[in-house]
Amino acid sequence: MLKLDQITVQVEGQTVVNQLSLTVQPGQITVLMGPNGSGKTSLLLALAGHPHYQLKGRVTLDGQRIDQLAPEKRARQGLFLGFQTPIAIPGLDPVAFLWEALQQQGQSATLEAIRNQMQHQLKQLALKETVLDHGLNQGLSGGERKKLELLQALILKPKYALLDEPDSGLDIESLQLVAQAIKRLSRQGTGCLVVTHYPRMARQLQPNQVFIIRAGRIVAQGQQELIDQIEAQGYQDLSP
Amino acid sequence: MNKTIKTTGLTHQTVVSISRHKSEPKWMLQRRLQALKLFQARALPTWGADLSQLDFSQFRYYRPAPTKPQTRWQDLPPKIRTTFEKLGLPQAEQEALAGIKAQYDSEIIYSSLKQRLARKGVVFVSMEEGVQQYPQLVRQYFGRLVPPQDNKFAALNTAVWSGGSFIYVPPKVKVAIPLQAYFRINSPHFGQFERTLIIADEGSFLHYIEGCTAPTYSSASLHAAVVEIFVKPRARVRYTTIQNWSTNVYNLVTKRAWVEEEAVMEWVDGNLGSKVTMKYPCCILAGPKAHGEMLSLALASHQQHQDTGAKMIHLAPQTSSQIVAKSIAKDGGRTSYRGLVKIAPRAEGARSQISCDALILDPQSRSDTYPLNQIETAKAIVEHEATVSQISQDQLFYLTSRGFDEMRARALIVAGFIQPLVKQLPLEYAVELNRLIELEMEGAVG
Amino acid sequence: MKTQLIWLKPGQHQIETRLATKEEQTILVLGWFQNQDQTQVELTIRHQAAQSHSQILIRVGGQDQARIKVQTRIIIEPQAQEAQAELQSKTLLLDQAQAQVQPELEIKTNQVRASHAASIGSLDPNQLFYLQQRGLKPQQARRQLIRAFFHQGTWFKNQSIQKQLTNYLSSL
Repeated sequence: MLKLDQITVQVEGQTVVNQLSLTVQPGQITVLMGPNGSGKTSLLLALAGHPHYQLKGRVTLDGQRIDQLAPEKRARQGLFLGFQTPIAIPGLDPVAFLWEALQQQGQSATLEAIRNQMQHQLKQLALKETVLDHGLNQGLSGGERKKLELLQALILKPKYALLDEPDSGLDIESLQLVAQAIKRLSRQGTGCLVVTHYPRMARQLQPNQVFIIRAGRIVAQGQQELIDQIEAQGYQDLSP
Repeated sequence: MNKTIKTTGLTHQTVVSISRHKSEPKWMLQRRLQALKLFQARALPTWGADLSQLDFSQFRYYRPAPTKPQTRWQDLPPKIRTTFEKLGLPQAEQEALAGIKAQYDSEIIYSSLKQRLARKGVVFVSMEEGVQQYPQLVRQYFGRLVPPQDNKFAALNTAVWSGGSFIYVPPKVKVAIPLQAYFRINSPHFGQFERTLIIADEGSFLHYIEGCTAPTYSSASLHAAVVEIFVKPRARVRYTTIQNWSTNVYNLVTKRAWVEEEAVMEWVDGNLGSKVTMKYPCCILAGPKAHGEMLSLALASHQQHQDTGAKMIHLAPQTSSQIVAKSIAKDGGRTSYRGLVKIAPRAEGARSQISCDALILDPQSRSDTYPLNQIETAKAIVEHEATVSQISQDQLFYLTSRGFDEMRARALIVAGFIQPLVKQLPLEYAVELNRLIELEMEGAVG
Repeated sequence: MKTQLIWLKPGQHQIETRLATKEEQTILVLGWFQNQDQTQVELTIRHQAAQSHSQILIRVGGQDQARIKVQTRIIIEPQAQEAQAELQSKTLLLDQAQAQVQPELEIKTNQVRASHAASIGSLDPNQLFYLQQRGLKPQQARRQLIRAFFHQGTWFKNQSIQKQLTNYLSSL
């Protein structure tokens, strides 16, 4: 499991996550919901090792402590971050990139095999095939970039995936495709921590656990009925 | 009669000897001598890179073709030897590039090529042969675009030029494969004062490539080449140069194209080596709807200064131009983009787009942008943008979070950065250029 | 954060500004020229210290036979780590007006972000037609679009700047 033990995250001297603990089980979907500014994105970036964030506490991945490791080492331990606003890297061939990322993880395959897998996943996510003809994320809309993050996760098959708002900016059809993709990811064995605003997406995922975060703290923990509660009443009643 | 010729320094006698050695007609000798006077009278440019250390009396201007190899492998600078080894070039090629062998062994390729070209009426010979075999054509075009009065180094080149290509493509003929400078046998692999003249007649197409990505050692420290290209209506010429001169070389080049109605001129320029390069390929868009393009990459490492750019001069209506200039400065190197876009009053409906992207990899390096946009008509649109930065931290984090080592991540980002230029090169150049940049990145600190 | 609005009159202008540590400066340079006006602007922005941030917005243009020359130079010195400099320049030309625009950069260290965008052009004929179709006479349409040219961009939505701009443009 991915275990977060009393995690505090600071950025530019401000504490944005305070004494947060939660666990993510392999092959299960955990949803983390909260209003804007509650610290969700900061938490995920800090877990991945982003240099602007200072993380205190213990993070262990299948028994291995990862909170002191450089980002690439955390990735090689099996951690994947699906960014909220994935950056474009012009000129970087997406197939070659993913192939090499797989090599790093000790998984080998031919370029052709990777291209085929990517094309298959592109169809499943309703992304144009021409995505493979440009640099990584070049010329893609926000929604398309998020789908591409999921595509990478489906092929890399990480142990744990942190998905930062895979739903924001998507239309209804895309929401369903993305929810299905996340479920497929978890069925492949990946433990998913999905950050989202929207009760609709949360519900579609049929998560095993739901955590509510406000002002950097977990204020509620439960199952699907928590989603209904948020949808009906919003976040105000739950205070840190 | 045995005349002793001074080996360094440039005199009237030097020029006469060069012309005599090439058995040139009188008119070419006269042009050389006139240019010599202009060279001696002209001052160095007051802008651009630092040329204060050039001592013209110390250079050799006249070299008969050597019969024995001039350099030994072990005399080459270590960096060049290591780079060759890492690039995995075969021994023969290494030696040719190092100037150890006097000619590159491409006889078979060249003769069959020459036959195919001759059948189509395409002329592809050395500049010397051009003067001998096509005097009318050469006399008409030589020096028309870059006269010796243009600048001091154009004058120098006109006085002492040696080597270079003369190419004529007849109307509507499209030369399917790129013509490369080293195809011509009996030419040294590189020349100090090359003079190239290309005439692409109406509706024709030509792609010409010179230079190479591998480090090229030159014992000559001053290179002053001139390239003149005439692109007739509806013709298209692409001229690709990749230079990686050793770091003792001052590389001062004047390249200019005259582009007529609906014709297209494309400059693809890679500047990786030399101590100083000053080069601003120019398109004079003289006919309506003429189009000029420049795609360039400059890499400046320790103690190198790449002062490069482009000039687009719009003289006619509906002309268009595009400049994409990318540069990388590392280990104390300096890259300067120097560009001119001029839109004359007659050039109604002209459009120009310039984009300059510079990477600086460490605090010791430097990047400059000196664009000049002169717009003399309200009926034109010019858009210019430039960015200078180090490698994006966000891009770095994206790749490291996917498991890539920081060094590998940097190399990938830089490879992506130069990709638009690499994409335009023939495969063997593209592969070598990528490997070369990878090697450079391995040595980079930032 | 220091904001300066400079409305240029015909003639020669030399403006130089230096930025100290963590200093932020925004400079708006505007000017509209006509008849035989000759205007030359040399603007130098020197980042001499860390984390300085400059933002330059230039909106100039002219009609008749005006001649405009704008040279900007952004210099980031080696000690100005983490400096940021942005320049956006738009030049509008009408009639026989001419312009020379030189947006220069000298960047002497790496942990910085410097960018500039400069464009030169005329009025969009589609926009002119749109206004005329709504009943404006050609000269009125032209005046409206020139005003719009200066009011473009979020910076110009600032109240005090709006007021100053309206004042300057009232003579058009």
